Amino acid sequence: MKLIKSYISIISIIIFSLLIVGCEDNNDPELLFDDTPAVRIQKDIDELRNTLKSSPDGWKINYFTGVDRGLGGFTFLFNFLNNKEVIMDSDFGNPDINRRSLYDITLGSTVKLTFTTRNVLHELSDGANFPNNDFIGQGYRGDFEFLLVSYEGDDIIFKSNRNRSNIIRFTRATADDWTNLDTHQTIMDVLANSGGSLGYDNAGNVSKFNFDSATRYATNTDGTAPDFGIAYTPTGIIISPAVEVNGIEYSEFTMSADETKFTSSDGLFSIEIIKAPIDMSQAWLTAARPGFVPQAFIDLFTAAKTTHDATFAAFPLSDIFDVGGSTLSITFGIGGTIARHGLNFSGVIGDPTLLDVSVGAPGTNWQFVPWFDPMVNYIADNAPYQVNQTSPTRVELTSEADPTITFVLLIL
Amino acid sequence: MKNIYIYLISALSIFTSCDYQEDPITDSNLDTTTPELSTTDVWLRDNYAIPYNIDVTYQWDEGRVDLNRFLFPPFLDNVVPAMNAVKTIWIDSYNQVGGVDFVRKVAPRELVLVGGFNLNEDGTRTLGFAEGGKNIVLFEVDLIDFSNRASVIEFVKTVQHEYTHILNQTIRFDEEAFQQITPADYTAQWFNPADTQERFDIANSLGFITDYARLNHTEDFAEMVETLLSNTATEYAAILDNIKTRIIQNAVSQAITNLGPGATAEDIAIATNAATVTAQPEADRAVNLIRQKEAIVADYYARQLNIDIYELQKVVAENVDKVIN
Repeated sequence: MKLIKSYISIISIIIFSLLIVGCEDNNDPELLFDDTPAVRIQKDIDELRNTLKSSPDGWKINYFTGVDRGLGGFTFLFNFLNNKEVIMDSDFGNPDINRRSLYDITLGSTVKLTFTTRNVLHELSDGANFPNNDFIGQGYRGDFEFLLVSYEGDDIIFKSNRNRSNIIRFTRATADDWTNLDTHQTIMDVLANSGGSLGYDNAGNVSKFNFDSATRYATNTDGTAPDFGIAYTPTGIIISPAVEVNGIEYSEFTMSADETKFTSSDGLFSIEIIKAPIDMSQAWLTAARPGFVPQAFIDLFTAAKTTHDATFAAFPLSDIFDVGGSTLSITFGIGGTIARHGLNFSGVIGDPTLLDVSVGAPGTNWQFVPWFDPMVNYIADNAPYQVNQTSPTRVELTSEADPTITFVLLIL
Repeated sequence: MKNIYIYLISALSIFTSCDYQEDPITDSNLDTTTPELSTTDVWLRDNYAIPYNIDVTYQWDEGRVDLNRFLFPPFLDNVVPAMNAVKTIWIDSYNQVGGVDFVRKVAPRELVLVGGFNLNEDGTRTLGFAEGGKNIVLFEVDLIDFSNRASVIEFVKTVQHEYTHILNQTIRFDEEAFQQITPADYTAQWFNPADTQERFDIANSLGFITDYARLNHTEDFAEMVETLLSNTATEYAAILDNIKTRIIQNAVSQAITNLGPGATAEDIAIATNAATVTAQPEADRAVNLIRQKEAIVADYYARQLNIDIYELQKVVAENVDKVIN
């Protein structure tokens, strides 16, 4: 009996012990953070809102909307006036500094800044406002919703909600940024009026680009370097992607006083505006005769004419022909019609007195006259040429490599 | 006795250990304060949310539109004028003819506003769309010219079209009878050929009021309503007359082309007369088919909605005048 009693006592103690342990308050999960998710999200939203409002002169972005799609960069300034309203200015579109639009910060896939009513930024996202027909329905492929990534020093890093690989850096704007925006136009005008030809010499490798003002994009024309987008600054340009030269990446450039090139801050690398020293789109012409073209060219012409006239007796080759003109080509008269081949005329990096000429695309009837090719190649092979314009209607082009080769062009 | 002490100690331990006080419930961690309403918000609340339970979304919400499109929200200043036009021309007109509670009873729950064109990459544009009778997306809010009657009608006709779908989803129309009028000519390729005039001519000659009406019978029905409510009775009659005229003109033009370049004036006169005579039945048939559809539309409005659509047409036209500057 005593044994049974002691068992009861022991069992009771065990049960009570279990109950005591069971009632211990240890049900709360261990928190990795001090606050609940809801609180942390709200704190992040508040922090972003307060940071955006804290910059007295607002924020600036150089927004490259699609470097991989052939689009350059656009500068925007934002001033977050209060918890809801923002004003903007830009070197793009039709900005109205007095227009107050709305913004909001919400939780998307992360904390998200959305410009919720229209302002100039939205012009990048207007499918009907496109730089060329390749972008119908896409506009400039811009976004007005930005996902918060991080804070880096004074900057805020976002990524586009539409294109998650596109990183956009918000930097603190200065009062000068707002007043200097107009000077972006100076740089734009220089580039727009330059003829669109850019080039650089990267450690001996020369690359040329065609710049399109509408897309703000420079396309490499000789397959020697990557294309790049351009954004304007008050003093020059920013390019994306950066160019690597001798292990250094260059992206910011200042325009020279003579408006001929954009130079890096260390002065070691420049992107040059290549201007032809003469306007070849005028109606220049010359003749396969002594005094106009070199004898070697006359010989090529004679050979071509012999073959041509024997083949197409009804379409004899004339010895007077056009060079340049609105079609930028060499155009031979053959009977009552023409045979045409495109020529590319451009300047030469580092020497504004030289005219470079390269072979362009075949044009009208060229497929019937392959015996004309040596003449076109001769002109291109002896480029570049020193340009000596003796009057508005007469110019001498002398080969830089062989000074005995001179073409005389006239406007009649 | 010793055991009693043990039991007592154990019991007290239980009471003590279970004496756990929950934290008092505090305020929500979420921001539950009522957002501050702007004058635009107040106007929309007073004119849409409270009377009709319609939420007008003018601030960007990516979930409301197709993210693959390059769209954007409207200018804040354009929201109230645009929505006032919609209310006056659409809601007020229906309520005037169908009874004060008409739109309150059957309405989309949400109108989403977009500033510009919904331009497709092929250059065509979508004016609006409705999803399941719940929401209607209205494009081109920033492009309305309130001094131009056609511009205002162009904007509101999207609502007239989409609202027809919502009415149809609530009360069916006689779909069997309607789709038997032009059963063979519905096509998913309604947008071909690319030339708008040519496309309209083909659709009209087949008995459709617009090119888009060829997509299917529900769109056909909505296009009929949209056309009736976007034109006065006189303008609508002129549209039908013009359909006849163009069918005959096209037949004459084709007949003259077939004559070739050597045709004399007499040849042309004969061909013109012949084509006019032979095309007349085709022209009459096309308009007759459209009139048959119109009859089903009018019957639906009268029987199912207790609305005389011709009276509604008149009231809409009057209300359009109210919003033109």
